[in-house]
This record gives sequence, structure tokens and C-alpha cells, in this order.
Amino acid sequence: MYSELFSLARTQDEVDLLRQELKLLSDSLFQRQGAFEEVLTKKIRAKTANVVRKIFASAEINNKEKFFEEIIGSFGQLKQLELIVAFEPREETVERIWEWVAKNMGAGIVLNIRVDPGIGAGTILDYQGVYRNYSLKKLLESVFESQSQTFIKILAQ
Amino acid sequence: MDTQVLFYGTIILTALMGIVLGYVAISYRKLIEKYEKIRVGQEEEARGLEIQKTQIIDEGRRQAGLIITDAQNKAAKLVSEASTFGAQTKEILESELKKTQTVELDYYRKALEETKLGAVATLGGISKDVKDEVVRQIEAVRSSLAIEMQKVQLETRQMLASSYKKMEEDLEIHKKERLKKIDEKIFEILKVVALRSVGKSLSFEDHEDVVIKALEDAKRENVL
Repeated sequence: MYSELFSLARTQDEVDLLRQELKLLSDSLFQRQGAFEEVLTKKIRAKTANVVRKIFASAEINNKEKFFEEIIGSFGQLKQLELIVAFEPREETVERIWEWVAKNMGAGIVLNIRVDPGIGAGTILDYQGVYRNYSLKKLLESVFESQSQTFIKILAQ
Repeated sequence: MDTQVLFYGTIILTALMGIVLGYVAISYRKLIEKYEKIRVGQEEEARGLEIQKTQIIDEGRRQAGLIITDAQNKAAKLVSEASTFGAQTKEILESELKKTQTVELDYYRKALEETKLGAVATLGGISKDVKDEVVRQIEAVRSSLAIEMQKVQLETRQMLASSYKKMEEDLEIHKKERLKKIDEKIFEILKVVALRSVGKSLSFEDHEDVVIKALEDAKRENVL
């Protein structure tokens, strides 16, 4: 039921933004009448507002405050998959990676993507303390290291 | 560094040569002073001997004169005493007197010659000794200087050869290091060029594909 909501929290930046939006909604529950609707309309992203409306429309949620509390609390349990890539990821890139992660690793994982053009291509990942370098830079280093004598011979010709 | 060692080594050797030359100059000066002193002494001695020789000759003359005078007086006395003797006796006496005079004169001449020869021999001996001493000392100094010069030349040559060898070794090491660095630099440039060219030639889709491929590899390796 909440998978659509979590699809708005694919990356750590999105999680932080969504947390703020849900906090605004939660706080508005204790404010004057009409404040919740005003936040939905004016202070959060339309797609967030749409998902929240959809959830409230389709499910029996008696305690909205508790709902927001649980959702915000669950963000703290998300596992981070840190990825360093060589290019500034576009929306489609994030979506592709996130879909792959959701499909192959399951829910509850958030991406933390950083950019370093120096790696050339590929990625360096860090997941739950395990580090792997799948960058083009690493690949070239290993090739140059193993084939250095061959290169020297070629250059000497 | 080696150039500095060579430079300072050359300066030290030059300084040593300067010290040796200074020592030689001082020794030579002392030798000349010694020679001058001996020469002055010799001249004074020669003058003394000349005076002595003159005195001996004068004394000889004086004694010869006395002997002759004495002989003449004795002869006159004998002649006067012998006036009573015959002509034959007178002739014998005159003959004896002449013999005596001749013997005395020969003796006097001989003594004079011996004195002369002795003085000349003494003076010649002194002169020759001084000359020999001076020549010997000059020869010793020259020989010592030549040995020192040879030693310095040998040390300089050895030092230069050693420095040159060390320089060659250092140069070889430096050359190898530089070549190694150049190789590393070439590889670094090749890596950068390869990274940039490959990175730029890839489209967004290609980049994404490579990332997805990496994630699949990681899953296969049980990292994810």
C-alpha cells in the first residue's frame, strides 16, 4: 500500500525532502481547520500530495498522526546503497537503478548517488560496509599494471 | 653533489699545493740565507788565511834575512880569522858558506811553497764543501718537491677518477629513475586520455548500462 509513497524516496535527498513534507502534513493536523489541505495544495510537491491523497482515499486510516509517525520512523530503517558514478544522473538514470535495486534487492533500500567524473565510467559501490570498485579507472589501472612491459615495448618501437 | 665534492676537492688540493710551494719557498730562502752566511764566512776565512799567508811569508823572509845576515857575519868573521890561513883554506870556507846559503834558501823556499799549497788546499776544500752542501740541499729539496708534486698529481688523478666514476654511477641511477618516472607519467597520461575519451564517447544509456552491469556483477559476487 505504501510502495507508491516509498517510490518517492528513491535517493537519500528524496528521503530527506519527503520526510520534511510528511512532517509538514503531520504538524498541520494540529493547526486550524483546513491547514492540512492547504499544505497538500501549496507546500508540498504535487506528486507527494497525490500519493498521500490516494493512500487516504483507498485505506482506512483512522489515526493520520500515527500514520505519518510510522512512515517517518521507517525512513530511519532504510538501508543505504552508496554509488559513485562518472556522470550527473538524470531522472531516468535514477529510476532505472532504483528499479533494478527494488527488483533484485527488495524494498527498504535507498540510493545515495555521488558524482566523480575521474572514475571514467562504471561505479564504485558501498553497501553495508562492503566496498567494490567497478570503475573504468580501476579497470585501466589493472590493465596497465599487468601489461606495463608490453606497453613499454610498444612505445619503444 | 658530486660536482661540489669535485670542486671542493680541487680547492683543497690547490690549497695543499700552495702550502707545499710555500714550504719549498721558505726552505729555499733559508738555504740561500745559509749559503750567504757560509759564503761570507768563507770570505772572512779567506781574508784571514791571506793575512796569515802574508804573515808567514813575511816571517819567512825575515827569518831568511836573519839567517843570511847571520851567515854573512859568520863568514866575514871566519874570513877575517882565516886571513892567516892559506888561499886554499879560504876557498874551502867560501865554498862551505855558499853551500850553507843554498841549503837555507832551499829550506825557506820549500817552507813557503808548502804554506802556499796548504792555504790554497784549505780554501779550495772549504769552497768545494759549501758548494757540495748547497747542491746537495737543493737536490734534496728538488727531489722532495718532485715527490710531493707526483703525490699531489696522483691523488688529484685518483680523486678525479673516483669522482668521475661516482658521477657516472649517480647519473645511471638518475637516468633509470627518470626513465621509470617517464614510464609512469606516460601510463598516467594514457590512463587519463583513455578515461576521458571513453567517458566522453559513452552516452547516458551506455553509462547507465555499465552501472547496471556493475550492480549485476556485485550481486553475482554476493556483495548486494
